[in-house]
Amino acid sequence: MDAGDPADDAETWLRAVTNSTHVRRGGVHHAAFRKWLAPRDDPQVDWKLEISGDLRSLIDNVADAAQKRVDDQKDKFRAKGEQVPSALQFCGVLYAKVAKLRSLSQPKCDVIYDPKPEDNAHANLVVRDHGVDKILTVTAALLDCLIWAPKDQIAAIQELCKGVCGR
Amino acid sequence: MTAPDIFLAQSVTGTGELAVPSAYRPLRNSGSVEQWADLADLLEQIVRCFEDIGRHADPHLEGFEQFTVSHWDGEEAAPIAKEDLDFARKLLERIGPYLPFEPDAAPGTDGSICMEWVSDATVGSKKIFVDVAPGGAVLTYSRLGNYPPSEKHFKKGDPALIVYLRHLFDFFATA
Repeated sequence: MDAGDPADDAETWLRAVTNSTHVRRGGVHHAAFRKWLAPRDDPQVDWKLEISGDLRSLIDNVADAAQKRVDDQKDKFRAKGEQVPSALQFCGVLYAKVAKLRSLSQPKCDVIYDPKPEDNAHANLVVRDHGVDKILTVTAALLDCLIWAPKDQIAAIQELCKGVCGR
Repeated sequence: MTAPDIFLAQSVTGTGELAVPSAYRPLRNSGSVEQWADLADLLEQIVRCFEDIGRHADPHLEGFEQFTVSHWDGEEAAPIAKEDLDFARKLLERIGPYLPFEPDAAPGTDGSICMEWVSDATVGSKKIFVDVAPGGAVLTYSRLGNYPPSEKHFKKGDPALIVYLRHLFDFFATA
């Protein structure tokens, strides 16, 4: 798969939640999710909003990868001589099958592979038909579609375990 | 019934028109000086009642002052402006009688105050979001049962905002 390719239908897209202030009542509050949704970086692309995440098949272990991200963030604070915020912690992941995201009637979504030097599994969940004028509509629809898995339940969820996509 | 209503209901003895606050003591009624004393006594009782209500009432957006500083999330979060917090509290007061329950409120990392009301019903889930955003915008979203979702953005000072929200929550209660 190359950068810019759509992800396979059988893939699972996920976003690790690494700040405890984003989690409320056993899920992600729309306050956090709304801010993750951003207008496209590249004006040439044919979508309006995007949200960063990862493709499950390209990560060895979801919990380990998320914890490493948290540890890297903590190291940055330590390197600056600043106190590490207690809110920085791996809380869980939001996830959904790519086919399910594509099947939504509204908003029109896709998952596009977008590897980064520091994150080879990086993929954007993109929204084609709505922009910032419908940011809460998109937020509500995606929060309904995505499944919340607290970190202590990840190991028991088939879609989040290695090898499910057969890659 | 709102929380203050519940408190009032709990603080009376008896039922119906004869219900009286539990702290009530009968007035004395024998002479003008005593009548003034009785009035003072009554006022004192009223003040005590309101103090009790104040202690039990749940203020809107309690604890949100902690988000009025930068980096409240330990990362890059912008502070919530005090004027936005005041505006959100006043907004909740003005639509208070129409609210089914207190919102599940959270700060946004852009400095916004994000409130949600979610309820599951036989016709599907009901959901209202109201976000007081920095820069003077109020974003609203509703999905009520089988009705199509609706998103409307207002300016803070728009008088249509209160009218719209009252209508929305009225509908929330019945849809």
